[in-house]
Amino acid sequence: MSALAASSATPSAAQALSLFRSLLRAAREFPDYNIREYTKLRTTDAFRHNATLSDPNSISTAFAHGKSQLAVVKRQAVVYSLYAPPLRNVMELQQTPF
Amino acid sequence: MSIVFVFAFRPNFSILVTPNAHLQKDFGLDILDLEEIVTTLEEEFGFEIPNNEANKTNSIKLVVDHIVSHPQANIALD
Repeated sequence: MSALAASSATPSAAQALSLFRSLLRAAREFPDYNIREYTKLRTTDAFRHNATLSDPNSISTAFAHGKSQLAVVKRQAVVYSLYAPPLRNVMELQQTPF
Repeated sequence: MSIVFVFAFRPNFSILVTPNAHLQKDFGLDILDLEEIVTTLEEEFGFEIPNNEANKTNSIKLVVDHIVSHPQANIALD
């Protein structure tokens, strides 16, 4: 356990920021408005919540979770695009407000 | 042509947006806010902003210049 922990370095702030951006970019691929907006908000909330972490173990755990979630987002964006509904959400319509 | 930025990141936001305004010093944006802005700009104008360029762009003027000068930017001339 200690050998495994010693071999993996703690993710740096730059890596966390890169993961943050990757998640936001991946979230954009969702065709569904609700899933897309939820994924963005969830990503922002999680990173703000974990911004104060200083324990290397906590940082590594949170980063690993973020990495796995990024893989989930990428996979689900593809799946959702296969079954995208023909009608667009009213929030996405480019209509002039009445 | 003008680009209007709507800053919804902070409540009760009333700082005047000027070309020389600094994103971090004048608007109090932290590093996560800046990342959100970069990805929002990418989505709005349809091109990717590399990390090193995003890090150097820290004022309204630099942001606007970067977008306008990019050949792939999707800017509608109204």
